[in-house]
Amino acid sequence: MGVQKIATFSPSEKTFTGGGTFLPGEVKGIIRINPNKCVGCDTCRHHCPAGAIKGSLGVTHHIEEDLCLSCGQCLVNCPFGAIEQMSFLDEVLSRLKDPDYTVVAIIAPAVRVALAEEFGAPPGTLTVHRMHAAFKKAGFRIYENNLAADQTIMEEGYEFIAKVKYWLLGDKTPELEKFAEHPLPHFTSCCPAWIRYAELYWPDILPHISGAKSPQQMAGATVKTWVALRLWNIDPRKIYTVGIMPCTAKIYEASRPEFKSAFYWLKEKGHLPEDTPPFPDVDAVLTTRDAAELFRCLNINPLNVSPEKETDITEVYTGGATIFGNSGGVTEAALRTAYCVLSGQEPSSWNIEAVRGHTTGVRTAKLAIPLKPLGGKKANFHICVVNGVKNHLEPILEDVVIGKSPFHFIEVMNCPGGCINGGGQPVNPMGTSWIDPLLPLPLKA
Amino acid sequence: MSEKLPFQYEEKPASLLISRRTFLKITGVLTSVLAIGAYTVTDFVKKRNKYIKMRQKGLYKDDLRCQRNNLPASHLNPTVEKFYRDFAEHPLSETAHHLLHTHHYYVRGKLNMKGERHG
Repeated sequence: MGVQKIATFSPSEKTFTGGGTFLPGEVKGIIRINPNKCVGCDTCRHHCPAGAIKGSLGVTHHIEEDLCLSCGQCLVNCPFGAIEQMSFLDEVLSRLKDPDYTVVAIIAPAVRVALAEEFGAPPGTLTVHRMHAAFKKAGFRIYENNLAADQTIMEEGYEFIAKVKYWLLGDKTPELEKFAEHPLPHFTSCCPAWIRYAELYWPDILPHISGAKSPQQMAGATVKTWVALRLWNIDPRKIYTVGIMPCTAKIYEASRPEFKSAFYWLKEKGHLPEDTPPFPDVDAVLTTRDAAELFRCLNINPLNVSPEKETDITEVYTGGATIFGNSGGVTEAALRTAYCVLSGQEPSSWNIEAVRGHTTGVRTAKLAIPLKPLGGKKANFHICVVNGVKNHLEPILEDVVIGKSPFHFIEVMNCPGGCINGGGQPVNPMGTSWIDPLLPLPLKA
Repeated sequence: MSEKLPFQYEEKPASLLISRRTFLKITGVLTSVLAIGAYTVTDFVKKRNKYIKMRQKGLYKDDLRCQRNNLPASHLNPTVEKFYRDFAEHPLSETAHHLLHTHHYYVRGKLNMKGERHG
């Protein structure tokens, strides 16, 4: 079974102007409906988590940019291939040819189980070493986004532990004081579409959301500081970071104006000349489909390259990181580390099946973790995993707003199933990401 | 007609059992129930979203591969350890605060107010 070809278009001048709900510099209009191809079947409107698609049965639909999360769920579910994606492939290809630049691929977990689909393999075919070798053959150096996911767990996990200490254990030491403004429940921050959804529709939730960056942004900032200066000894200005993502909203996330932290840090520490113009942490983002197109342009088939034998230091990652791409994966990874830190011992099994989202809309679980500061007394943690914003998230947010939420930790993934079903993934022509049972579409008046 | 003939046909009054309109209503509802039901049944047979489960399975396979290599959880990653030892000191440190945390969540509805149309 082949994959559906998705048309792409290049960014225009209007892309970066900001306005509406976009700040200047942010990429807008990543997803667009081709009015000549749209037959008005109304499928996209039923998959849009933000109600950003206007139109009705039989009428050509269009996307309201200001309301759009850029998640691309409409795109992967359009039965007619009428929805198109903005692509930065040309820019990346020209940088790859430029010998002055070191082009770094930041490869997301979900890419390794979907890239092969574009080359004829069944969904879920795992390529790790072959994929790394293919990217190197194309001229990239690699910083695993999974490694950055491990960093994310360290930062976000410790942040969650600090919140637990402050809010549940009553530890009001001065260094924890900043968490007074960030009450429980703790929301994950890895999904850019969820962040934009909260910013647009649920601003009351914002103090609950983790301050840790998403793995992609951590990777960008780390590559242009630690890796450039200490590991590779190259000029950070000559690094071009490319996120290889299963996600169209990551294109937007990378362009958010605050994500220039490597530039400001380097400048403060005196590593940059005074007149350096600001540069973003992540320069460009390619979706899985774009990456496959890049390989086709360069005549590389990732399934046929010989897998690399050695793992570079920037390619080491853990099991906790790689399951980030599944719904419930961030939670499981955070819990694995939090369990070890809070209890001072390793769990009997690393697999926490209770929080795995699979294709269930909302997963809730209660976990007992022994707390070392309380002499091993067990505390119950209430966990919630939201698998797809559409239809599942609202009741949970309502509880949080009125202060009745029973949960301590809530993971939100915009796309049903997690990143592996993101808007940048290969499109299965017979597939649907509708995960709710029985009715394919809700009966609404 | 005073005399009843043996072959005379008497039509039943239409409203006795079911009216034309009721008949249309019932068949209309039945058709939609059958159509939706048929789609649901094919949904179970075809499992249109099975590709989601297949990709998830692929990542859990990768997870088990990492666990076999003694890399189950993030704090055990040697590169992360090196990153903190050589560079960022510890999670939530000053450096981590600058590079790995964000301090910007915007209330985008307000941005929209300044723009061309009210949200």
